[in-house]
Amino acid sequence: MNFREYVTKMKGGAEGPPRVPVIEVLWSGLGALVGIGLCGLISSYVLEPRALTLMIGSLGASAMLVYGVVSSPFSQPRNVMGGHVISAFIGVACHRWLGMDVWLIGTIAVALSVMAMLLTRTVHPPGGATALTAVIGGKTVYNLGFLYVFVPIALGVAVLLIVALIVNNLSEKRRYPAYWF
Amino acid sequence: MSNECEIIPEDLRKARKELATYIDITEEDLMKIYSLALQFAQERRSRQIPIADVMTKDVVSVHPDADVREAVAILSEKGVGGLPVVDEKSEVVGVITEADVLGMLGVERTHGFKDLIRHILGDSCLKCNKEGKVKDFMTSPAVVLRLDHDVLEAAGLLEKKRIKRLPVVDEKNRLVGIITRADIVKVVAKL
Repeated sequence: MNFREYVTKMKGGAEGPPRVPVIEVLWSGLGALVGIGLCGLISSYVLEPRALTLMIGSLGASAMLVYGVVSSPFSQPRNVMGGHVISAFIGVACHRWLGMDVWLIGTIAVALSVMAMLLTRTVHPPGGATALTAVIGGKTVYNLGFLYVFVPIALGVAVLLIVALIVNNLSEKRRYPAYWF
Repeated sequence: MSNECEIIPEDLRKARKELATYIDITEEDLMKIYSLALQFAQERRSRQIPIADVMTKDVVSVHPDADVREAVAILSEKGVGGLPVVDEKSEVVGVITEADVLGMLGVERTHGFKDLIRHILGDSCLKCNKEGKVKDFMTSPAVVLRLDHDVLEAAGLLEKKRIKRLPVVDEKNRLVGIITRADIVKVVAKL
């Protein structure tokens, strides 16, 4: 591959994906509304009084996939739960055991979680955010230690998946999950 | 399932719209998957082609007790490299090939190109024996193919045994046809 061929690859050339019908948009929005809404309710009324939370950024990213791109491998339970839990564990472990600058720990945690998700066939892009949050999330997250893997991550993912099972299958054209494991 | 109807990117775009949901795959990847799947389907179809559809049914054969010169004459007249040898019950008992004929002239399979040159130059290292019956020179037992085998198995056997033709037999080992490398190439070319 010469330099010209290398640069040509950056041009792209393929057409972007078509817009989905409005009904799909509405089902996706409803799923996100109920899923994140339920996480918020549980967080506000049950967890926050106990210095815990379910409202973290990476779950918002997961909502996009689980309710908006239902048939994607990224959105299947194995990937969503596996990707988040593995990345959360790696993030906490890196923060605990690597004595470096925070930016460097965060970098290593994300890189390791990317590799771990690929190796374990649990690729779920928001998992990278979960690993990074474990490192840069501040005292609230640091105080959780390895509990971060279970609350907010595993519990939050479980809520999103339960809502996905109920809401996604209400649509005639949707079927969720494509596979469990 | 053939390449006569090619899928173009526009078809994929229409199909994606028809599904009416967001699918996270690019047209390029979709086309790659489609092409590979088509290739696998063609391979599967080639395996399903019965030998009976490919083989030559009108086979010239020779009896084991026939004079070997008769077999040589048939090989020469028909322009073929080998003949199945069948007995009274039409059962294949061997094959007589060009290599066997060379053996009859004293050129054994172990002899190399240098031996042939020496023979041409008059060296008596090779013993010439033009008398005898087909059964004295044929390769026996013959490698045969059952009628219920498929084209890919035939190709594999031809390659493994490094031979050019296979007599095809029924369940009672009776000769029903012959399949050659050329027959298989013709089938693959049509896929």
